[in-house]
Amino acid sequence: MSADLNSINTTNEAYILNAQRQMSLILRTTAIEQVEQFVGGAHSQAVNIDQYTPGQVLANELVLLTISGAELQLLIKIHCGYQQVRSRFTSKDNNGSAPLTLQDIDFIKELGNQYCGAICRKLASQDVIAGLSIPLSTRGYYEIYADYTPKNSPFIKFGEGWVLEGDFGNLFFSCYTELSNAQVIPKILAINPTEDSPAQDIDFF
Amino acid sequence: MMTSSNELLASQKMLALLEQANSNVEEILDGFPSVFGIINAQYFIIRANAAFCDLLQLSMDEILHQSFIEMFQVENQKIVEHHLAEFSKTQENDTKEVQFRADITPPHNHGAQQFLWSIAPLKTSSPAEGQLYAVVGKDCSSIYASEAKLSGIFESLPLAILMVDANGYIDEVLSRYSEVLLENNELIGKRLYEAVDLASDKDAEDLAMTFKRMTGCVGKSVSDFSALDPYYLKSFAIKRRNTFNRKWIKASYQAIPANNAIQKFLVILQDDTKSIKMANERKRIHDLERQSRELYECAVRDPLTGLYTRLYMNDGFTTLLNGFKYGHISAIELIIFDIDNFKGVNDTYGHAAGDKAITAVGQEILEHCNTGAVAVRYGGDEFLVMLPEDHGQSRLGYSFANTVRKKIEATGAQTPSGAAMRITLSAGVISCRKDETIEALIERVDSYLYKAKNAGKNTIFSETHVIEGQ
Repeated sequence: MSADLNSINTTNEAYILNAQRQMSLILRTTAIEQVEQFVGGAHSQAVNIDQYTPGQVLANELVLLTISGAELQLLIKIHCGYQQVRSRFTSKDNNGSAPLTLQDIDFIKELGNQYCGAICRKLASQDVIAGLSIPLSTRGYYEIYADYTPKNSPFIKFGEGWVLEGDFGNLFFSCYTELSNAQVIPKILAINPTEDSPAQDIDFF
Repeated sequence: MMTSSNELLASQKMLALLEQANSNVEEILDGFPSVFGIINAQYFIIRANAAFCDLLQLSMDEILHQSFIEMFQVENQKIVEHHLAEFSKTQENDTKEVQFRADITPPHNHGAQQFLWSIAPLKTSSPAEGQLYAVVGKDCSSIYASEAKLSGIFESLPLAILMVDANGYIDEVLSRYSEVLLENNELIGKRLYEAVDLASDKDAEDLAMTFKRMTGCVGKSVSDFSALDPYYLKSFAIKRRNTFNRKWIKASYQAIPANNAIQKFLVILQDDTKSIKMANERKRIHDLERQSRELYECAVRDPLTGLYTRLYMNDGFTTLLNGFKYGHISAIELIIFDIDNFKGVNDTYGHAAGDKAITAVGQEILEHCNTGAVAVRYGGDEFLVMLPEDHGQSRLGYSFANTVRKKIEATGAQTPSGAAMRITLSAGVISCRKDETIEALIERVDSYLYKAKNAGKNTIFSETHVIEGQ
């Protein structure tokens, strides 16, 4: 977990770190609940990826989504292996040689949609309004083209990666968060990570 | 803010097209027949195509994050590490690509597969993965197998095959036989004319000059090299060790260009001793045959007259008589000449004058013989001429004999001192019969000569004509 604190004085550091932890909790808790719902009864736990650096190639496939609003932007990626996609997470011992089909890809994209939709709902519960992009599926090694170079704005940005270890094997997640202003932090801190808000209209980009 | 549904559909469509294009590119990479992959700064695989997975018998999920170096056997890992180290060493030089051969032994496979690897840095580098490299591996097993086969053939050829560098030094010996042929097992690093013991100083000089000419073509085109070909020493002899024998070597020279400029030379040497010996043997046989022919000529030609001797008479007469017997010749006549009073000539003018008389008669006979006739000096002053028909004309014997007789009577001969010497001839002429032997013919023709002598000499007695002396 990393944060750019250039423009924040030290008294705010703990405050920002709390926001990071809260964001991380929301992301991970939502990932567990959505994957369990999506796969149907799967059990998993979120674990930190050792020495994770944003831009690391984690698996062969990735689905990319963005959640964007005036106050924040999240770049969320779900990284998974071919075997997982093919097996639809039901067993990790499925045939590894069959090519991926469009349905395989759509499956993981739909997971991304559901997951990010749930995040959007949780943000909206505290009036953090953000829209959700259409999922983009590509090969995992395209991470090498991701641009994570330091920027002057927004003033807070942090990246993290975690892995859901479950019956279906390991499903990797990564998220790069950018907060545009400090006013969004209290709203984030107020979000209940485990409580899914009722569905409402979500903007799609 | 609500995006209109049309814009949403358009963006979805664009994204789908983008995904499809990207997916097509990736499928091409997956189906690329050679091994293809991308490795990160720690040389871990972050992208591998199907051929790469097949080689290692791993799925795409399993191959991800495998160490590229560790997929080789330990001894080859050092080779791979060595070549990859080129990138870190030469960052400033901006190394574009390294190529090397490193064999790989796939799991559950007994033999190593020969691979030629090309590794090039990608322009993109990732903050997380560091410098990235594209890896392409080509299975060269079949090429190397062919090369090994070819090399085996080269090695076993009964030729000396040498690579010579731009300075004229042998830098590679391509056949095992080279050392045997040249009787030197330390050829590398030497000049050919120094590595062998040439049998003659001239050959040594010419061979050195050949190499000087060849190396003078370094950097030039092959046509420049070929233009000097007539001046290259193509055959020379070397001394055999511990014997006084020589070994003959046939040499050929080939220029090896790189980018149209000669860099090296291929020298092929062949043991030519057997063919040289055979050529010498052929020459010896030819000389013997010539000598034998000359000896035979000496034996069958009378040196005084140029006529055949009695030694050839049987062969010559038999050939004509066989032609007569089998119908190739329709008629043959036999003429016998004898110089009248030859003993008197000898007694009067001396034996040298007698020889002059014989020579004169022999020359007259030769001059008037047709092409098929066989003229023989039968005895001291006796001559036999077997005369076949000429262009359908038979019974020529009498006129032939008479012409010679008249000519000799008219011209006579000269003594060694130049004095005129009158001589005359007597002759007998018969027609040959098919069933007669040579002895019988001679006996019969001799009887006609006898008649001519008895009739007063300087005359001709024939079976059909009788001419009295003038």
